[in-house]
Amino acid sequence: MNHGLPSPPSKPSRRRFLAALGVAGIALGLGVRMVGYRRFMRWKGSVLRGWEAEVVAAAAEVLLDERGTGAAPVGPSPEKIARNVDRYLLWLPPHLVREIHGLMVLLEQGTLLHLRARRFTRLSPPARSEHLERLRSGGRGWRLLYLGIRDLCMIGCYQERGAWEAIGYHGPLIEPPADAQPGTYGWAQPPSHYDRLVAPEGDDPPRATR
Amino acid sequence: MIHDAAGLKLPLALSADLCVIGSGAGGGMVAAIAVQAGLDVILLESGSFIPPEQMTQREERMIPRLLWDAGARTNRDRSVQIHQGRGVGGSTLHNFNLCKRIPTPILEEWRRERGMRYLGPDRWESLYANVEKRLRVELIPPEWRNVHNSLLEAGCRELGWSGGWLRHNRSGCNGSGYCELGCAYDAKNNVPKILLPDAIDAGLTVLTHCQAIRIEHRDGRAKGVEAVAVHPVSGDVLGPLRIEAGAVCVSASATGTAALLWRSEVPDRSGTTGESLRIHPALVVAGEFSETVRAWRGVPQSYECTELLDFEAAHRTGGGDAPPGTRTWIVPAFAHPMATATMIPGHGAEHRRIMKRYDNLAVLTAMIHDHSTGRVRPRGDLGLRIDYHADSTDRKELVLGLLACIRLLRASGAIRVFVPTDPPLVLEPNDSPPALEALELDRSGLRLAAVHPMGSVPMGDDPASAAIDSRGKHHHLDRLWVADGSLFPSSIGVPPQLSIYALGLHVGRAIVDSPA
Ligand SMILES: Cc1cc2nc3c(=O)[nH]c(=O)nc-3n(C[C@H](O)[C@H](O)[C@H](O)COP(=O)(O)OP(=O)(O)OC[C@H]3O[C@@H](n4cnc5c(N)ncnc54)[C@H](O)[C@@H]3O)c2cc1C
Ligand code: SF4
Repeated sequence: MNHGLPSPPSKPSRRRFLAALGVAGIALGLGVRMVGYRRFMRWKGSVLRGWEAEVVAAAAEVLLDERGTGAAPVGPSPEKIARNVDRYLLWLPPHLVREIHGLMVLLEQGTLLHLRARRFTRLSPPARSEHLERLRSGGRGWRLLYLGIRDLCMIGCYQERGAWEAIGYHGPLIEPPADAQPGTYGWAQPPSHYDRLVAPEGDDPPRATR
Repeated sequence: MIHDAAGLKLPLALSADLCVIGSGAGGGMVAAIAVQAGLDVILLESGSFIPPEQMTQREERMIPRLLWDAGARTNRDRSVQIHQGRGVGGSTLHNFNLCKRIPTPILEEWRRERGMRYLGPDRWESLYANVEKRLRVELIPPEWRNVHNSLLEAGCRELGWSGGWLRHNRSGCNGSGYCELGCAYDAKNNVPKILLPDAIDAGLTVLTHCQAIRIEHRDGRAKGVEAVAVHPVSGDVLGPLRIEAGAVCVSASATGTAALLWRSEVPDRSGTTGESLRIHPALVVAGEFSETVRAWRGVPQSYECTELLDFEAAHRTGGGDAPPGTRTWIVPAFAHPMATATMIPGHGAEHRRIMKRYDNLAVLTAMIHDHSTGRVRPRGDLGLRIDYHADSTDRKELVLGLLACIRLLRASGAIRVFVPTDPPLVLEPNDSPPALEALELDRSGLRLAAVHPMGSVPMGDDPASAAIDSRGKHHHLDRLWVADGSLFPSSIGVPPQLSIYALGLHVGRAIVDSPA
């Protein structure tokens, strides 16, 4: 009979103790693998967290390098690529943003599944390259992971003038006006001959009620 | 006037005779016809109003603004990238302005199989004549034809294959080549340029950043629309709007319309809504030339190869078992560096090697008139899901198209051909395409792309086999209309904008003529 009293805590069995120890070990291991990101100390992203920006930069270094050594990636700096990727991600709908965060975790920690003790950002460039190649030739899920990070790096890189010269692309014919202020869409929007069709901001449409 | 819902004090209630959802070729035309006939019309558009002065020719700025999901929309298994426009004008803002009519064998087949009492071939003829005049459709003049397109012509000539120059809806074009990023020179004769100013002068109200989430209906009648204002960049919900309307016309594209009908639980005794999406899946192949091609300059698509397109043969037996090599349309396809870099497979040296030849590349795309059907369903209040997988005959047709592109590139003088399998297949001049006939698309790493979703709510006169009749009127819910690419009873094998404008005109007139 219980008499309404809480039952005394049962003595932990040896098996439970070992399981708890295992879980704590894994948590500690993962915890250790999640700290110590120092590359972009002052990172202020809109979507990507600092460690995620490091993952993008680390991937860009090898994906965009002709020799896979990270010695001379083409185009803008890896940090600039991470910033460009961050700005692009702002436009994605929530379900895709969630996927991108998942992609970053899998890429960074997925090295464990390939029996590497170091996380992705701590691998040497050749080891990073090798890891990405394994993802590329792995099963469907791994391949999607590879394609995801690859596409983001290409987007971050080839939107920059610095990447265009070597490929013979002359760039846009339109330049921002000399006095253009930065704005959400690149620079603040100039007046348009369509402006007469646009109601003043905040003006209610006809017959609106609240 | 155009009102930005994201800047309004919400919640808000509005009323109108007609609420049109989506401002693309279909919805833009319906709204223009109805308002000019004296109806009080509200047009809802989830995207922004982007006038030419805001088209900056920068991929990283324009692609996220102009395309749904920032250009990252795909089918569920990620095997096909599906590009669809968002903004006042929908895909007419950033398409390539090609104009083609639906081939007669397809119209005849629709008449045989779907009734089409109100929209037979003769009616199409008169709608096309009207729309072509409005959009000022004409043959691309010789001075606008660039090297890229001339190479395809040369390839066709060399092989003795059929092809021809195309007709477009643009005036005042300077051949900048930035069509897919929106036109900074206002040369596209599209919804914002051709239809919007007069419609607004006639009293049209457009609400931008306003996304319909449900069609309200009671007692077998559409009553209005439940919508939300969305943030222009993140798409986050800012607050609700309600539009009470005498009639509702859904023109949210072949994916958006089907998803909205499902989410709204609109009755459909035919069970066809969202069940037969076609997309015209396409593959690309690149050729390297010793001379500069500079494919990114000039009118992007002005020549077509029709050697593998035989609508008579493909529709002789009802379309289901068309002979191979009769459903493929080949045109040049080129993108600016960012999009090109994502299309070229691999990374590092192999990727760079092809990118370095950007200026010397010609790219052809083989797009097929697909039989495979996909499914569209809503995802939460704002999103949607697309299931589509090309069946084995469509996959074979795609591979035939790929082989034809290789032949055309070689015939036009390519010194090397790149097939974007993963890893990329590089064919030197004397290499024979190694067993590509047996290529398994699913395992090849080839990525399909689609820019013509259609057919997800196919019209037909029998309510037992169609949700919408051939006027665009819903069979099972009164005062509800549909006018966009969803209505095609099959894929049409040609670029669809002209036919969607024509449908908008047809449905717009039917709405005006229907008793209130
Ligand atoms: C890159 C590209 C190039 C193309 N080139 C050509 C070409 O050269 N020739 C040709 O004929 N065709 C071309 N097409 C295809 C063609 O432009 C489209 O098929 C056609 O314009 C679609 O018209 P629509 O009215 O059915 O839909 P859309 O143009 O997609 O319009 C639907 C509108 O509804 C809005 N919407 C969706 N859901 C909602 C909602 N719930 N609430 C409010 N608004 C909503 C969307 O934002 C969009 O603006 C091209 C397409 C692409 C992507
Ligand atoms: S090529 Fe012509 S239509 Fe296209 S963006 Fe340039 S000017 Fe506009």
